[in-house]
Amino acid sequence: MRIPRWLPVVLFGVAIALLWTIVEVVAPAAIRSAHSGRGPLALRNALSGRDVHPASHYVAVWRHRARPAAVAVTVVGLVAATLSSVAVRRRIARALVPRAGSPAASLPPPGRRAAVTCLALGFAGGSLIELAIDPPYRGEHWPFSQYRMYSETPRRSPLVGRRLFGVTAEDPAREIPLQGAYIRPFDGPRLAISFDRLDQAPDRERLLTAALADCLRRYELRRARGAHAGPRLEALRLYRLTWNVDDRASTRDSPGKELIWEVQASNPPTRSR
Amino acid sequence: MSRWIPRLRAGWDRFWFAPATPENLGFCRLLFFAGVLVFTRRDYSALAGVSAVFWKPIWWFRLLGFPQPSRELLETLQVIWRLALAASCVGVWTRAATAVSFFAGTYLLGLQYCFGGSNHAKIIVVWAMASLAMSRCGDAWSVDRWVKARRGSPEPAASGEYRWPIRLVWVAMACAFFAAGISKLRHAGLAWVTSDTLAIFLVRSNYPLIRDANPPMFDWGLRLARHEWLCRALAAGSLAIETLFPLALFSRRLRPILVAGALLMQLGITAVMGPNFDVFIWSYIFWVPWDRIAGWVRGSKSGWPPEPVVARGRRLAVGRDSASIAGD
Repeated sequence: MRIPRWLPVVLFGVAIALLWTIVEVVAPAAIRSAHSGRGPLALRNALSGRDVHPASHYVAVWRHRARPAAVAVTVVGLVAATLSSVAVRRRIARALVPRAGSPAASLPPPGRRAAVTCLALGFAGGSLIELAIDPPYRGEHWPFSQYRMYSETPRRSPLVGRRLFGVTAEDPAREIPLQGAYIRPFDGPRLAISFDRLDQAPDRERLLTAALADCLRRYELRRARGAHAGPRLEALRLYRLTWNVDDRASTRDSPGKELIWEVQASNPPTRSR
Repeated sequence: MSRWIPRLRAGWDRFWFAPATPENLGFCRLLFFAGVLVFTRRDYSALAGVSAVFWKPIWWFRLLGFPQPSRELLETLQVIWRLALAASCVGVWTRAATAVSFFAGTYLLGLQYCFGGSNHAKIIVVWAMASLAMSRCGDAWSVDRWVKARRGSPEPAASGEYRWPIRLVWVAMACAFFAAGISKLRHAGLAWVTSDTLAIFLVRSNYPLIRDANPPMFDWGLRLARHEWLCRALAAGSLAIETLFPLALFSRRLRPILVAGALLMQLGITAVMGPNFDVFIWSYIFWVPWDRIAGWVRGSKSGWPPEPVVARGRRLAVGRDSASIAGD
């Protein structure tokens, strides 16, 4: 009996659709069901810490692990299905043969070619590994990257971030946001990442005190050198800012502020090195 | 299988080593290092004065045991780097200058990411400097070449040596865009297009002190964000350009569309969302067939130079005045 040519394609399509239905619909439903105490005992036991985490946490963990695997299976399946076509294989073979009018390779010595190949494969391999292991944003293995910026699905509101403010030595004192030339050699995002890390460290009080004192010292040193025209500061404050976002950004100048840490300018600025 | 391996090898060799004149690579070297000089101007020695509580070295600093450097070391190193960049740009002792540019530049660029997390904006600089340091990019548009010509040295013939460094930068850019597309699909799936994701990013970029990058140049993002269909169309276009960008390596027809599309996308992101792609955008110079443009300018009366025609399987001999093949 001859198998119709469309049958493997349809079966492949059904298999892929089934795979994604399991990943996106069936498994999350089973996880939610197990989280609420129903379903197979093995699955309920697998959800350790159910009392602490909501069901959405387990669904997110599942999707984070299952999606890459499903994408890999789908891509491999698609490539295999495509290469199973005789016409496609013929076209690839034709593409690999030089066309009239295309220059023939002018090959450098084997050693040079090997060096170029190593450089190219090193770069491509490192990039693929980075993409596969998917380290946290800004935790990439520079100079390789998975280029993750803007890849997440953000929540609209609220926006939360830690930012630095200076308290001016004026009467009355006022708070100014520290950014740009005031915080060199840092930039705003990189300094915020550092403060995120320090604020979550076990000895956060010591680290935040040292970090804020260092920012204040550098601010005053740069001000004294004329590197910026900011006012003299008597204190530095680290805040957690919270915005309720609207589509016209009308709330951008009125964030909620929660003080995290503060240092006073007790000593005149000195060079650390 | 046995007939596929030679074909793949031949395809590989043709991609990297098809002969090209030295002009294109030389002019790219000149422009690229001039751009790096401009776009990386900052005082790296200031990093020496930052408190050790901020010190969180990146992986190869940890691996090699590099400590937080002293101000004297950084001041010396950045002077050496700037001199090497300038020498690489004009082509004085090009091989040594490009090598020094690569090593000193990789260290200094990497160092700034040891204080608060890395950033991928300048990765392209490292790989472009690596490829130029290994190449014979000083064989045209350089003082070295001018000195050799005065001594009677013949002009270098077309060679695969002038093709691969440019192709490596192409591959680096293709990997960057492809990875960005895959990251979006991985973390958000098609919801990155079908939901309000882009609209939310456009609005967030207008909130001060919270964004991932510089302030946007214009507040057009707020207006764009009000048009749901437009945001989704832009998101779909961006995702398509990013994931399909590797095709620009192989397809002459798609290349101008994908490269121009990616350039416009990055300029648009800078304008309405803020991230600064300065040196990455500058690296688009490697996609421009400068030697064809030069040929067109020199012989503008006869118009665009013709594509070279070679017999199948024979080595191409491309002379100084012959047509370029850099854009193939």
